[in-house]
Amino acid sequence: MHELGIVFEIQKRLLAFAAGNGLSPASIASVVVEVGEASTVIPKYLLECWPAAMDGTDMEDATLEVEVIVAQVQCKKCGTVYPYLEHDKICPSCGAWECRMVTGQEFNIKEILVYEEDVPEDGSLGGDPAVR
Amino acid sequence: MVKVYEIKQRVLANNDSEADALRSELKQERKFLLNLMSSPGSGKTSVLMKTIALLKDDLKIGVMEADIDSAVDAQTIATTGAKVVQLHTGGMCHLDAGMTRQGLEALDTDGLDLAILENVGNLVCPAEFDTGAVKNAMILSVPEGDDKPLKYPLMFTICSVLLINKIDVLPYFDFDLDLCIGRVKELNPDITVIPVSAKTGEGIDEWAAWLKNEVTAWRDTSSSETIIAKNKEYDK
Repeated sequence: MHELGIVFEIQKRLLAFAAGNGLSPASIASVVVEVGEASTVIPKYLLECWPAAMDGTDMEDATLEVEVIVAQVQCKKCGTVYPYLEHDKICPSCGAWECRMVTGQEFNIKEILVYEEDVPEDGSLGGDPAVR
Repeated sequence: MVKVYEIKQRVLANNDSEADALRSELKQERKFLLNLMSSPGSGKTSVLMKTIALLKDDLKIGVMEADIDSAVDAQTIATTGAKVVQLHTGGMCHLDAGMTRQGLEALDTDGLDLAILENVGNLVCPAEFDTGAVKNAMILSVPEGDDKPLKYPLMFTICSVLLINKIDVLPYFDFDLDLCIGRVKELNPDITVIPVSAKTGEGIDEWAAWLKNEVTAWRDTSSSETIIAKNKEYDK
């Protein structure tokens, strides 16, 4: 159970992002994180911890979105790539358990959504903004 | 209207860079930091007692005991004469690089060759957070079962050495030592596995020799790059 600590880490990253781009923290609308099924982060707890960490800060209206990345592994015996949890950690082709993780351990900040009103228009932005 | 900023960075990227910075400083100061991890009750403190007894004439050792609460482990370690501090994580289930740095400051590493961090007893979260240690070590004890590498693969993947503790009770448990080592090597072919018993002292010599060798190599090699790169291999 370390989701609260992780939420504080995301909060720190958002503040650094805002400072680095000349934005006010309050202009952050949302943050999208990618969570691998085989990472040690549980999306449900992450979402539950989010308001507790953000309450009373400049970012209290910012929302958290979690995108889950399916754990895919490659069988070390026959090379088949298969979804790990769906197949109960056993290769559907040859029945071996030995495997190499291909995806599923990610825990990334994918993107940050910012209210446009607060975005300066002098072209001094970092990142790769795209209007949504 | 909102603008979308593509970030695509690990959430823990800050911790990773703090850990790298700490390792570089340790390299400059020629001090070794070992991060020792395991489940609660696997014998971290008992193994450390025996290890300190064997190495205290060769190395100046300091220990950081990390727990959610209490000071019992620090009081036990203090009886060896080693320098020790108790760190309280305040409910957190692991230490990160920032907390480890604070711990080292509290310990005061001046004159030490080896600082050992006894991490919070937990096979899950500590595996995710690079503490800045030069090497990660873990203990798996016989009563926990030989299936732990299947259940907690990341922990076994990030460690350079695994001690299988309490081998004195092997006859009483359905613990298949060869099967367990095979499972571990499947996850991490480079890991060193040393069966030990903190109770009888069996295998502790080999473990102490491994540790002393690592401390000496870290102190005496000029480039830290290869070792740091190795520690970071898992961290994609």
